Amino acid sequence: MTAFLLITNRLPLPTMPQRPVGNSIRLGAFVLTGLGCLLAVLFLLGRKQNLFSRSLVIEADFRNVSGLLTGNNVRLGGITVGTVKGITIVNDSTIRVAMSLNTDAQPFVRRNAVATVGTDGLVGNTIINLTAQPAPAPPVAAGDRLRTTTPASLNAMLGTLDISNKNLAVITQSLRRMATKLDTSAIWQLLNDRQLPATVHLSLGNVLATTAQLRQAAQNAVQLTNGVRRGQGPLGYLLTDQQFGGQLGHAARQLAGTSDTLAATLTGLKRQVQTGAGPVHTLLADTAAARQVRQSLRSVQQGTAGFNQSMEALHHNFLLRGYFRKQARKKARATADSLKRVGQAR
Amino acid sequence: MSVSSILAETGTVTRFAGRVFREGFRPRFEVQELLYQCYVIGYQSLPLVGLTGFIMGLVLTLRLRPTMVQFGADSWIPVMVGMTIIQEMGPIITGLMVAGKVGSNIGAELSSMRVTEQIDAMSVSGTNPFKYLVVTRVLAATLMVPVLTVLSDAIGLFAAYVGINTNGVTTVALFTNQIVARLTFGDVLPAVIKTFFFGFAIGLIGCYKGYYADKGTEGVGRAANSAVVAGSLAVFLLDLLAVLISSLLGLY
Repeated sequence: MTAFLLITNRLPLPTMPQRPVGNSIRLGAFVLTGLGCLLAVLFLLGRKQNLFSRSLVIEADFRNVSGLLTGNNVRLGGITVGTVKGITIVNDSTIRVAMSLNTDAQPFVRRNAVATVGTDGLVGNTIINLTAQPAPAPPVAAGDRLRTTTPASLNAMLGTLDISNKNLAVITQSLRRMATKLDTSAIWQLLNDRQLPATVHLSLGNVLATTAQLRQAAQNAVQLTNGVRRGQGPLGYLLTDQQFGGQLGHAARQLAGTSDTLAATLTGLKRQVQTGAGPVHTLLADTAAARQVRQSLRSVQQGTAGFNQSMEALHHNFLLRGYFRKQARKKARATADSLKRVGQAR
Repeated sequence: MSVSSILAETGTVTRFAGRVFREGFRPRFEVQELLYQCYVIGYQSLPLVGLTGFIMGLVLTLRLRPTMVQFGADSWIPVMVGMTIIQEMGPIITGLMVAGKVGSNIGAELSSMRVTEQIDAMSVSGTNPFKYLVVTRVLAATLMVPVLTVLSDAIGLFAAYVGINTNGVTTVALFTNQIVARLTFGDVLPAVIKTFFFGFAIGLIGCYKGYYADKGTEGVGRAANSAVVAGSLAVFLLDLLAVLISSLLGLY
């Protein structure tokens, strides 16, 4: 009974009176707003992935798609014109990428466009870039297969850079060695010498003076040779006189004649000495003659000593004394005159 | 709490969930009550959820800005905030707020009805109390939490837009394009789908705790409290599960 009362009194209370029509309207508005937001987001995403626009599918074969995913963008000149629709492996070196292209962009994508795999920014999504070529071509149609190229990949660039770096390390090392050697070398010390410029300057001055002297000497030589050429001076005469040669020949001939005569004379003298005839043999080989000569010479010596005594006696003779005095006076006067002349000259 | 009791509790909850499905698909449907519960759980939670979403978006933007400016990446702020809000912050914050507000509400309401024997009275009067009270609430929570999450995301993104405009200048079109350019279906759909499970778990746990409340007024408080705690925990566990599943499916 109590339970029944409770039902009749309490059961409707939490539910029935709280249901005005306004509640339903608010609830409807609330749900519709939520669903609208969700649908808006989904529509934006779908439009981004070309779910709602008409599209055509074209293909391209790549060697490497670098992590391309279904749904990634396809761009023409940096503007998104489609999305990647499917990626299939054809064989071990060919990856076929099917691209869904907007029909709006179809007239601008030519049949000769080149597709490359790139990245959106440095670390962004992988994308496919379509590059237009200058040559004319009809627009793409569904099922067309575009040409592809492989762009310079970051890995390849880094590989090249690695090699360059290693080379650079070797080069800088040898440069460093060279610089160290140069720093301790004699050339560097020479270059570092502060007195060197002064010394060089001095040397150059000397060289200048020397060259001036050399120049003068050369001038002299020129004058000399000019003189020689003109026949002036002994050398000139020697070199330029026409008759000199003839005279020289004559003199030589006479010299030859004289030497012949001399040889004949000597031969005669030699015969005389060897045979013992003539005065030469007596002079050179006769010992008795030599003794007589020595005796004669001694007699002459004694004779001259006696004559000397006789002359001394004549000095003191009164007949001759006056003459000797006059001689002595004349001599003294001559000496005094010469002395006086020397003093005036000074 | 021993292992066996945990297992027993899990088993009871699973049976309870099975009963919800069984009763839910069987006519006659309590449409009016369902709409009313939707109004209570969804519409009346919107101010709270919207406010937290707005604050979350604004705080996230203002906090992120100095770091991003340091890296010269301030153009990435919309993307980062948008991703964060749509994928994680929106669902989690909404789930927690709903678990706090609605879970405690359901737990307290059903437990008090259980304590005052109204549920028994209903079954006596010929109304299926399980269908009338539990199925409607669970279904309402399941349907309303996703809507609340989407609205919370929208409000949070608007707050991010406001936050960016306080320090710099951006337009709605640029802001939207920046976010949409990075967003994929794989980001949005799992985030929306998991909120259905959040809502289901919150409603189910609230109803379970309330429906099987102990006798006495003490039971009402305990039921409300444990409904909030278990509901919040379930939200986090389901979020972890959602991340793992979406990773397995390649949706990230």
